[in-house]
Amino acid sequence: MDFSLTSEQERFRQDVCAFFAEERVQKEVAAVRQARPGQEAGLLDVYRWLGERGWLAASWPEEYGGLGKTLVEAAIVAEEMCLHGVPDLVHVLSIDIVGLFLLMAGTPEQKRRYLPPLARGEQTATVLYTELEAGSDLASLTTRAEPDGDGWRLHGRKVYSQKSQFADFAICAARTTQTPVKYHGITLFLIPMKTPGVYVQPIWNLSNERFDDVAIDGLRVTAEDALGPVDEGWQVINQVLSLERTGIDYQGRVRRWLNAVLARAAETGRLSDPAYAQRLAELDAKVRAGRTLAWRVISDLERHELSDVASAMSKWFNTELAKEVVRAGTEVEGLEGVLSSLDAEAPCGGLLEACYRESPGQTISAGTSEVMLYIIAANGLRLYS
Amino acid sequence: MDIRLTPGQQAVAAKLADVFNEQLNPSIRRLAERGHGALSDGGGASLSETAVSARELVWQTLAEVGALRLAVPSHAGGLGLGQGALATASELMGQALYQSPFFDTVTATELLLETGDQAAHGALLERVGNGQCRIALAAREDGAASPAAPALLAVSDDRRTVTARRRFVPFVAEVDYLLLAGTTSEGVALALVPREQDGVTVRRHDDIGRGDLYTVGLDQARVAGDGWLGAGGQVAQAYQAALTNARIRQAAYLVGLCQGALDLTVSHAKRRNQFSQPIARFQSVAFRLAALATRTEAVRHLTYLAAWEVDRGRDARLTATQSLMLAGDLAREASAEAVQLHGAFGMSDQADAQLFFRRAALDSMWLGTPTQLRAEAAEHLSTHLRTALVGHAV
Repeated sequence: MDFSLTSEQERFRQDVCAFFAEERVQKEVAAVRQARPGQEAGLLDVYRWLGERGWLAASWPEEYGGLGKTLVEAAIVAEEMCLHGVPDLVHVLSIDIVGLFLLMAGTPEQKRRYLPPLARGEQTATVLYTELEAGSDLASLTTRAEPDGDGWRLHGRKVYSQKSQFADFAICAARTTQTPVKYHGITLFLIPMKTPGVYVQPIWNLSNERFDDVAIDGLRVTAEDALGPVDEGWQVINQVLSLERTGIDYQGRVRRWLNAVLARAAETGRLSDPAYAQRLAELDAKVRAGRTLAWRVISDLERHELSDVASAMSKWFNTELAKEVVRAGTEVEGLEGVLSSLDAEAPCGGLLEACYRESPGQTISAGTSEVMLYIIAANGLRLYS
Repeated sequence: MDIRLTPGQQAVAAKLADVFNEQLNPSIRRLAERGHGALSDGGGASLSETAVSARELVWQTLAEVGALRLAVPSHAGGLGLGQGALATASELMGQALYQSPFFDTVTATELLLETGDQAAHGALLERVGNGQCRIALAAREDGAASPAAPALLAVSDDRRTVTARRRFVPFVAEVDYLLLAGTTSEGVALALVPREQDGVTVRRHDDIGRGDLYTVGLDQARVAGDGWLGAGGQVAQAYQAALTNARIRQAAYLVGLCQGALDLTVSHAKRRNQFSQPIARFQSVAFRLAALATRTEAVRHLTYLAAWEVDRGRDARLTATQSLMLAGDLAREASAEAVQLHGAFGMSDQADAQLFFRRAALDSMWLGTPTQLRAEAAEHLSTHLRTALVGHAV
């Protein structure tokens, strides 16, 4: 196994790190961290600056605003973004998820229209899958596309999406055909978000980033707005899901959180106390192991050896680990660890308290831990066949 | 970046597949078991003739495919494939719970290549590489002590004889030499001692693995000609480097053990019907296996990262310690889960699940208990911390 980056890739990482260390970037990151409840990051200037360099979507073809680099470079940007504390959810949604859908299933016209503004960091996108009664069992969704002349009108309600309040457009899953087999008859549509017929309301939650409740009331779409074949959206979703789930962002986040904990443990002297130090050494070992799982997925993807099992393993391992890290982190601080960013006395500006609240979302979003284990059990161990 | 087995590693795996494979592994697992008895001559715990000749056959096959020379540099007559290839071999051995002086012989080879009068070791190393000579490491007197700090060793002024007591020395009955590691006034010392001599007495331990662990008494035991490898300085460094490499192999062996226990349990769960369906279909069973499979994969990759660090000339101590710590914990857990998911049958002598459980108890502590390794890792981490956090704003 070769874990090394090429010298060009090493240089690329250095350049990316140097960029994230720039004062203007750090200033914006600091401002986001001090945001009051109800305020959160949307399209950051950092994204535009990344977009100017072609780094925001480094692995996309140049004609769509990327650099035509490999997934390794894209992963380096994603990893460093997390490590430097740059809010990355908009990046993940716009580039890694929606952008990837478009690259894989979009028509040439859709790619030309939607990808460049995403890559430049001028527009953002989100996904509208989940409904009140359709979470992990996505195929039971009820948002319907009613035939209307040469197109459809969409009616439904999507919940728990994120960053929809900022998004310019979204991928929305809707039922175009009622069939006895629920996996057939779903279609993915590209829909504008800032338009009459789409209404976004907040659902306040445990984390600093709100959920959105999106009502779609009669929005008209045509065959040109369909992403991938009509009625075969389920297949498209499954194909793309395992690609988007590399775990790079999850492992970057858990490393950042553990680094914060380690830094505080060193500052407070806890790192010299074996009771804390040994637990942290074990967590460090696990975080490093989790990193190898995520990079293995990148390495496989580069060689078109895609495995939904490897990506499920990476996602499950790194996100479950995040929960362990935040538990240990608050213990390193004791009661100080529960002080929020609004309290001037909070260590690390309240980072640990915020991570603690953010951690449950890691094992729920983009496929719950239970779904990951099911994929590993079914497709990896073949326990059900 | 290419996190797949290298062609070299694949070639090693392909060669070793003649010995370690699904058909033969169940038999190999049974070759390691001796009967009960902690006897001075080891006689009451002897192996059957079939087991003795089968063990010999496996050993010779390993020698023929070059397994004993995998990481030996090509200029020294080896295959020069590095620790990555050895990790692959170790993993396959772990799946088979293969028991032999392989690991100690490989570690002794590394030490002989780095210490003492190396020109004089040529003939010995050739015999070791050909499988004609086996070596066991004798470092410990206290089973609770870490192998990083070997027990006291008394050496005569002329360096010709050593006096010490060593416990938990593996495979003494079938090795030609003991490689004594010990702490002297000059630091860690190494001496190669022929096993068959009057100054050496042996008693077999009776252990949970029913295997080959011995107490060895050395009373002015004769050191082999050119067998004094030195003390302190470079010898101490070579010993710590060899320990790091040995820990990576041990971690890989334990990863293989986890994989073996998992494979066994997966196939059992698919065959075993209860409540009118295979128990594999129950989520309480399936999800535990899926979690174990994932954790095994994570530790496997961390272990390979450690091997890669050694092969690239990097400091691999932290990664080696961390891999072995995680592998040790996981091996105990995976083997206990294997017994649990096999039900009462898993505890019966005829089930292999209990063999994994027995071996994991011992092998997870072999080169340091997970608790000791955690403590070591914590020290490495404190040292590394400043550099590890550089560039990563928190």
